[in-house]
Amino acid sequence: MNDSSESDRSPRESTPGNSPFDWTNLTTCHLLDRVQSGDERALEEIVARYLPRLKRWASGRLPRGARDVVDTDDLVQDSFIKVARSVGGIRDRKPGTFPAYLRETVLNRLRDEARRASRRPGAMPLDGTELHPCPSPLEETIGHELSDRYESAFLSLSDDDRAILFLRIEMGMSFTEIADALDRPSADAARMAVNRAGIRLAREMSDARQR
Amino acid sequence: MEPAVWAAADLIFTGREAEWDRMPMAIPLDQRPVIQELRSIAVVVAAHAENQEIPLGLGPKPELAGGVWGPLEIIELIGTGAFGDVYRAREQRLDRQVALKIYHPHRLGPSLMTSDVIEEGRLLAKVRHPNVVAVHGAEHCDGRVGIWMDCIEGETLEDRVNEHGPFNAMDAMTIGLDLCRALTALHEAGILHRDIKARNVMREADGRVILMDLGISCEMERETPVRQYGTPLYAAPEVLLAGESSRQGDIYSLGVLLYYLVSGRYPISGATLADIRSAHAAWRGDSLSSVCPDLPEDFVGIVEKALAVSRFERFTTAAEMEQNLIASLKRCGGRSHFVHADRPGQSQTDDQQAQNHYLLGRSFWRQRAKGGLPKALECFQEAVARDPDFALAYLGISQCLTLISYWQFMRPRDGFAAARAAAERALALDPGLGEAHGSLGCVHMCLDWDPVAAEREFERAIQLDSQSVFSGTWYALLLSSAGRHGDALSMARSRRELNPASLVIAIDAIVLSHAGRLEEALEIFQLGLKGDPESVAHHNHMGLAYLLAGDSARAESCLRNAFKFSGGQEAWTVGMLAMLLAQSDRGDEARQLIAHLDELGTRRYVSAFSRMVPWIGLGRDDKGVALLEEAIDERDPYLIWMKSIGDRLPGIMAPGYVDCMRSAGILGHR
Repeated sequence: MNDSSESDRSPRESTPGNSPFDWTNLTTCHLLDRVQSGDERALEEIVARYLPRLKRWASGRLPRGARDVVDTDDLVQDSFIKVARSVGGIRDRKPGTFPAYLRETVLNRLRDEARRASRRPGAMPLDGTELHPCPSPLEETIGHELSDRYESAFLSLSDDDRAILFLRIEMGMSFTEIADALDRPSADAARMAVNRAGIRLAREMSDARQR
Repeated sequence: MEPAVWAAADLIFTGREAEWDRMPMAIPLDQRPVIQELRSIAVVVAAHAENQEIPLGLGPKPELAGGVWGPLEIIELIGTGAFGDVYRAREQRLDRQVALKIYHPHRLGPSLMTSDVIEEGRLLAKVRHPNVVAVHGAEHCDGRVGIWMDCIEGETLEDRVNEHGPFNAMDAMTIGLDLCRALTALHEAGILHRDIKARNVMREADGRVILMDLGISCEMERETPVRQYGTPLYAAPEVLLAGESSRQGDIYSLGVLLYYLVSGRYPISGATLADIRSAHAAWRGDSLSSVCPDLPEDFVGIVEKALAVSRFERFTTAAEMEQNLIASLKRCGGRSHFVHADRPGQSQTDDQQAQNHYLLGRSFWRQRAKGGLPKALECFQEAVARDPDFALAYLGISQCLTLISYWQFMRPRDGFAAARAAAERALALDPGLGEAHGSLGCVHMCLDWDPVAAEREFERAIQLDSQSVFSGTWYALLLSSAGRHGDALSMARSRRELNPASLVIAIDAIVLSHAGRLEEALEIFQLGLKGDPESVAHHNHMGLAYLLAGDSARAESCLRNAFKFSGGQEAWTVGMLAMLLAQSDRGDEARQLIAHLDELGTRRYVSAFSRMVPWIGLGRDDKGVALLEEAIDERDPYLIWMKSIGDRLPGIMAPGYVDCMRSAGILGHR
């Protein structure tokens, strides 16, 4: 969604003269493979692609009261690198595995930290629910009810659907970036996949409401 | 997928939720909860976007912000490539979505001039073929050069292979058939594609395969190639090693594509361009039979001939390769996934030969040309002869017969009756076949003259298969014939959006001309004529449009063109032209055409309607009314229009004709 992030580079464009060992031209999947084989330059490239937005995303998920006591940047960076190193080694990994696993891992770490922060002296009191020690900026904006319905429908989706919606809705990636991240052949193919996944999410939410 | 749901999702995920009010209002009840939840998701999207501090939507690039480039309104950026950016845009005058490719200024220079791109666009705009993306124009505006074409919705073959693995040989062969036809159309227009690859071929939901990205094609006679090659893995050895482009270079790339479709691999691979070049030089390739030993020998032979190292050993033309694929498809066994994808469930067949005939029939059907229909019909008939319980093949028969009857290749009463029997058989085997209801709707409309029953069938058809161009097109005709022009136009335009290639039929222009919106109709017809200046159908429709608008002189000119390009073989054209001549006191010429019609009738079916109209022009109501009675008995499909346009056709609403039509129920009073 960020216009300035659009470059002249097309995902997996294999025009003549492009060296496949130009890191900026490799897809996320290829970079993860290289990370697994110990290529630090590939890790740097993948960090550059994801981390700034992941940090902003994480800051929106952390309750305001916990922000002062949790170093979000360190937490996110630490989780990110662990996931990048471990996902590369998964056999038969699909393109969606990395983003889906990344979201889950960082969210769990954030919740742990928020709980920990709430137990510290002088911290804000818990309101009785584990999930909502106090609202995050995101929950403040959209409300608990919608936040819960969205999250629970989101978790019922496949890895691939979660991955693509995470990248588009939550990380704000452009379709070109998503095509690159998820090995889709074009931005338009990514757009269609986002639409399909979004409709499945809406159906889940609708079904849950009727149950 | 329900179009309203898809449209809502597209608005939200492309960051255009503000345009919500432009959503169609007619959302089916069962889809409303899903759309409501999509709106909830839009709230989540907006909250995250705010958190990320970014604007919603991929949006137009800053330099195109403001939304207008030449004749186009920019909607959004949908992709970037090495040569430029691709935008979704709208041709404002025609209210039609297109894909606009704007070249990066730094990509233009001595080897690729602005004039080259414009020239290329001009050339490509001449090619109109169902399997080639239609290019509509090229311009140089605001310092940027761009080319715009149909916006195709579907998946690329690369997508398909990535998501579902390689195709089986049968499916690859049917794709190969369509691509051979696409290549033949390009080559006959003097154009080489030069970048055939799985990512440049789209497959629509109805199975139509479209060759895309003509951006690096070039004229065959051009001395210096604009660019040397497309994607190295698909490039023929002589292209990579010596920069020699030719038809055989395209045929080689098609061979690579077929190889990739069935194996997920390439015959020559390498990590760098140098690797690929040296592999070619040393002929270090993997034969298809060694990579996929279980493929039919015929198919392997075709792919390997296309991939011959020497271009002189490949197929001479794409048409020759197509003929080989047809022969192979008829002989080979194997199961197609397409049959399953089209209609899972009881519609399928276990008989492999029946399935092959069906696939071949669909391939002819997708040509959407009159010449393809009898061949398609024959294939579907062979399919049911092999498997009398093959629902999809009955559907194919019924669809072919509706068009054959409407276009009067046979007596409509017989054709529509046979179409009904085939549709009913298809529905007995599989009640969920939406297009069979569409076919029945057409029969109710044209044979039974029962618009209420027809509309019921069309509604059912659209309910079961909302994306059907077939059902929607007939439905638009029904609405138009009933004078419901607004509804007809909405339906026609929605089908055009689903299938831009339906310019071949130009249903929206027909609806517009019946609604009296001549200028808009003419603009669409003219566009179709750009692609095929000798289209008899377009000249005929334009002739009728002028006639309805009271401009007999221009109507005559169009009909004369239609006469010329059909070689005088279209009875409707001959009849209408004779009528016009007779009405302008050129009775002798009119009588010559009547004699021509009589002669035509000794060789093939000539409708009573076509024979009737000259006598209207000559004021011979005795003969005219007798032929009208015959036309009514034949169930001539043109009669369904009399209620809505009869009063604008000079002479046909004279008392004798009106009484006759009224007693038959055509004008609404039986």
